[in-house]
Amino acid sequence: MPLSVPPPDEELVRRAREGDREAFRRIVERFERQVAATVVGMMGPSDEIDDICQEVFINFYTSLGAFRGEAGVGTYLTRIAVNLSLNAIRRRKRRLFRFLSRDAGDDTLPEPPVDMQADYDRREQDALLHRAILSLDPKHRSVLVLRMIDGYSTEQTAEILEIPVGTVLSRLSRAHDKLRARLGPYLDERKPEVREKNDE
Amino acid sequence: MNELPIDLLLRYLEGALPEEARADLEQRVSVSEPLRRELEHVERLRTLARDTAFRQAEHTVRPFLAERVLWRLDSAGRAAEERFFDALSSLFRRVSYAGLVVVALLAAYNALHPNDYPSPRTPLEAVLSLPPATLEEAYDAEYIITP
Repeated sequence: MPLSVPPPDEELVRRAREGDREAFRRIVERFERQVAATVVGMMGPSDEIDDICQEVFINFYTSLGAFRGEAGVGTYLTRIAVNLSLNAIRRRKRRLFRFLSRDAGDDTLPEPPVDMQADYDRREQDALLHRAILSLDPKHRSVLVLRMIDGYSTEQTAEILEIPVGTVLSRLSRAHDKLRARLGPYLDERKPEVREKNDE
Repeated sequence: MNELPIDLLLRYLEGALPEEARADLEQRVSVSEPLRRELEHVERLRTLARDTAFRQAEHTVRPFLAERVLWRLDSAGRAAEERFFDALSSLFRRVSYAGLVVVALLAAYNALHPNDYPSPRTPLEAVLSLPPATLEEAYDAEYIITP
């Protein structure tokens, strides 16, 4: 029995545009992991992640008519995911600011603490890394997430964020410097893990 | 210069550097301890960040995302249809109210401005501005076909 070849993204988009719900379901299933990784990278672990992932695909569905296929489906979805994550971060900051403004005299956001002496089991490792990434300015964070976690090239990152390549490079450098300053001792202690596994 | 641009290191790790650039970078790294450490840092950070993001993504997003997205799209479609019918119903209600007002105004006008008919009209005829229907007028009507 011959194995069926999965239809290419363009084919699924065309069918979804014609109202084929099954084709759209396959698009969601194909890209949900990638979209979720982008949103988690931008937001850190949060109750909002699932909702934002849903919104990403609903947004994509409603803009299927406008999708011309100049960028790949993954790139397009990533752009929506980054924009929705940035909106959520702004909402979160406003909520936090309202909450903090009740405390007289304290008008600065707290810097998340990074304790290098803690036990680095997996959970703490995640928390440590997320705190370090979340301490970055969102515009630096989005570049870092797209370039380092999602594995987009510098040019693709520039295209997704609609900024010049030079800006991507400078933001990436700033983000990396800050992460290195916060995580440097931790990174010195750890041995590299199997890279090929993540590169698949 | 002791530091290499992060983008160059990432492209090296991704295997995206041309052969010549890759050989040049490897040569520089092999003779410089700070550069070797820099490359190791970037590699560990990249591995850690990707590993953590994808693991968290699997735990954070609940199962059946596609089903939930489709359900929300269906619900949104139903809600849009309901909004349309509500708007339509509201429009028809306004039109019917306006029609009733117009009918009432016409009836009042007719009641207040009687025409001079030789025979009296019933109140209904007056309100509807109809001529009195009498037997005599029925016989006098022009449209009666005479033999």
